[in-house]
Amino acid sequence: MPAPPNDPPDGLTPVVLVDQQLEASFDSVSAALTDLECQLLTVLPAPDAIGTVLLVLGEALNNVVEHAYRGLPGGRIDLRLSQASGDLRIDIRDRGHPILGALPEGRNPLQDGAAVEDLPEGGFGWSLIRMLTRDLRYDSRDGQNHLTCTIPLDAATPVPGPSCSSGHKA
Amino acid sequence: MDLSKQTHGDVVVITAADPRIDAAVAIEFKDRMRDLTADADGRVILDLEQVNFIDSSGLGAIVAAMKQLGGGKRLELAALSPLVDKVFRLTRMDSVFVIHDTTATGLGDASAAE
Repeated sequence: MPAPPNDPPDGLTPVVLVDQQLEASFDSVSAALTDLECQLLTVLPAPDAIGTVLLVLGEALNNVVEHAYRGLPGGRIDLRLSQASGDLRIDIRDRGHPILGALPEGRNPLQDGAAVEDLPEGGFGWSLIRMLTRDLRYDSRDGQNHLTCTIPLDAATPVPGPSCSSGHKA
Repeated sequence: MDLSKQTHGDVVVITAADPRIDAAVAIEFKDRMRDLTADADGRVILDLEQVNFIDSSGLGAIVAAMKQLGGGKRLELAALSPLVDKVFRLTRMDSVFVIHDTTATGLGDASAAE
């Protein structure tokens, strides 16, 4: 049962910070993140964590665009951010192709001493998500895929997010 | 993707003037870098001062831009914002590129030349 809107936050009841749907395209993800950085500045109790949140969202949402909706135009992604007990919880839902088997382990694809021509140009996404989040879970049922994870706001490495003014183009 | 090129002696400096290098512009970035560095014989410095967000696709595009230089040449980066710096450190790609605090210090750093 959601708490009545006038109750003061008790830290335990999740407070929904963002609940939106976006089109599954790289351009749409890019625009949504640019808007979110300003939105989060006003609602997130730990503004220093915004950079970390935007990094994780970028990787997770672009994975959906690139893999879940591969060959499926017109897809939509539901994004919800909520906060409880010092954690930011991310929920991402889509109706594209499910990830089969376990989530990628997210090993860093960079080999020590690799020659320039052998350097990896991809494969960093899950590695970043796993390094920056906790409680990463994924399930797929009834045609809906659901990825969830949390970012501890206290422990989040303080990285100032991009500033609103410079992030927006007039 | 707004990239501009300046030449300082035999050093080419490419300045990225967009706030993001992400999946939406990664391919365009890589193609523009190929055009701008095609005739670069010496060092190439990519100035990222105005870039405040990069994702793994953007990182991959910067790696690709380095490979395009050919001959195993290292691309040099300058003026990484905190978030961009974080992505390079987390992926350990900071060990792969020559990274300068600013383009000015990069230009004065003759030891960066191979």
